[in-house]
Amino acid sequence: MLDIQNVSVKFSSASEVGAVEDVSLTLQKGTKTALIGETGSGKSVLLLAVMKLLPATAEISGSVLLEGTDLLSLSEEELETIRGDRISYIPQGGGNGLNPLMRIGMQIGEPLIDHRGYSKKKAIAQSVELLRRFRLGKEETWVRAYPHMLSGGMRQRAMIAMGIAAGSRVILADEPTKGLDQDRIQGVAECFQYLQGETLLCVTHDVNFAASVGEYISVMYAAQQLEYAKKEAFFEHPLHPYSRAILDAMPERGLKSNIGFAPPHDAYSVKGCRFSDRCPYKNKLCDEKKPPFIDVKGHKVRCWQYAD
Amino acid sequence: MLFPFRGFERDLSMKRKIILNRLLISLGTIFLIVTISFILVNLMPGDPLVNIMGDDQYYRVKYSDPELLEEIAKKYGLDGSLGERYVKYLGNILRLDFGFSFTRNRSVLDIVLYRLRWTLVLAVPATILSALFGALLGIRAGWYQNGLLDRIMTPLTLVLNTIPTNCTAILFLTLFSYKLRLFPISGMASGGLTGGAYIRDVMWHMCLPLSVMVLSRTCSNFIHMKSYVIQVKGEEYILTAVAKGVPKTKVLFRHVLKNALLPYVTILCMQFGHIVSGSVMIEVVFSWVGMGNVMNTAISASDFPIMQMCFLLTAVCMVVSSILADVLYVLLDPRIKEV
Repeated sequence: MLDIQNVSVKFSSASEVGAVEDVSLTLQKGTKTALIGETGSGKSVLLLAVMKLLPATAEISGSVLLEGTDLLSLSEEELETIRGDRISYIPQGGGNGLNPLMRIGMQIGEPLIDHRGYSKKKAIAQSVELLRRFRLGKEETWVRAYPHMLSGGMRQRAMIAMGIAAGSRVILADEPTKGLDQDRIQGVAECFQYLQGETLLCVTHDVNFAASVGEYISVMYAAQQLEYAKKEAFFEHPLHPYSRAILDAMPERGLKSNIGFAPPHDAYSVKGCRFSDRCPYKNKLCDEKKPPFIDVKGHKVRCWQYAD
Repeated sequence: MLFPFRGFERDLSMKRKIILNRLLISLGTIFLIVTISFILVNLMPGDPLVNIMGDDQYYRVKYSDPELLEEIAKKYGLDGSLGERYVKYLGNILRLDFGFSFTRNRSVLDIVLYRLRWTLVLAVPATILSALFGALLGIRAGWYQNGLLDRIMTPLTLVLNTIPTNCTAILFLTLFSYKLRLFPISGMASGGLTGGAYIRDVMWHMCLPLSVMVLSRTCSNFIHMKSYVIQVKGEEYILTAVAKGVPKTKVLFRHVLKNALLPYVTILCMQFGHIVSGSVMIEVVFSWVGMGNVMNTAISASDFPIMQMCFLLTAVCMVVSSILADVLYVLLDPRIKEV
């Protein structure tokens, strides 16, 4: 459905380390993938790069195939017809992702107006139906509301509804749980479970949320993908030392590790493994050569430990 | 969850309440201004007549003809106790009686209203035109940032914006009137014309002062509008709109414009506040006998009653413009709910 191949993003002004380096991800039709990583690991940039939404200063390489069409090679006009129609982006609910001066119904229905030629009235009526799918309650009233009247959790649900409004089959969600409390996070997770048949790539730094939403988990660290696996495999047998550290740092698992936060981008060794400075298992090779993305029976990991 | 719709049904009545509240505050402000204006005259040390007549004249009259002084005091409502005078003064203002001019034997209201007309003839079109030009150019330059228009207009407006209007006025006057003889050097109309010819003549006289005003205000409006558009363009909801596949021009018209116009309305309202007093320099340079010129001569001639009314009128304009901005904001921005 969506095939991200060797995508790299570099901001010309940035240091030698890019924002995203050589990330490949294949999303099968109808699957849900959670992309986890710390702030600054490049996961949100990757999402924007996939839809070619980054500013012109960003240099993107690689290819993004949506049902065979390479999105990165399309012109802005061609992208306008695809964005919101075949692939959607859902911004953070806690942020400023909704126009403060436009009613919710109009914002949800907007893709229908532009892609399906709906009238304003019909689009707003349809947005009531869309909101109903996410069990907002009092949908007829909410479509007349302005974004500031909604709580963060409700805004997030409205934005998911907006994402699928025109029948888009691929959904990219950017940190949908940011700024929400535990209860609302649960609600948002449920909303993503209502999505049946849509292909989802969800960026998050909430491991529990990733576990409840994703069928596949991908881990990003310092612009690189470190691990990719089925959810069960990832949580039961994480391969990368970083993934293990993340899981061990969770309260549910007894807060067994605390390796702190990732250093800034210019502090990495360019040659070797990005994680080597914090890795308890590192050896000489780690500092000298970049580890390849190794396939261990369908479970992919970027670590020298698993090289033959 | 709490019933969240209190706002909806009460939306309109809430807005009405806010607007009413702002109106009351403005009335209070105007009352305060009127009172301060009274205090300024009456509580200054010495006989208020000194401030009205000036030292020389006051003492000359005081020693030569004390009865005349009393008469003058009576004429200006300066007899009686302070309280009595205040009440009388308020009453006069309510009846729009601002007294008599000192230098011209006419009622202040007549003089000011007549002159105000000429100022408005200049200031109203200038404000409207510069609002339009500034918005159109600013939107375009902000939307196509670093485009041709932006690269030409931005340095140009920044330079023009730093030149005081009286300098531009003199420059225009020298160039277009004196050297090229395209426009009249000064004044508002040639004598002896009526009807259509008169109107055409006034418009011909207006050309230069109007151009100078429009030019300077367009520059600052342009700079403001451009920065608002650029700011809104960077907001996350614009990214959302683009990600939805909204075509570029529709992103501008549906999402950017309204959000950028909101702060623009505020600066336009502030300009309206300066409508009476903002063109003193230009009026003086072009001998346009409007409010600015009246103020200018009143100050040099110590014509106190006229100065006082100009002061009140300017203050009232400011109050009205700020309430206008408030009301527009309440009507345009759904987020404003509380007073």
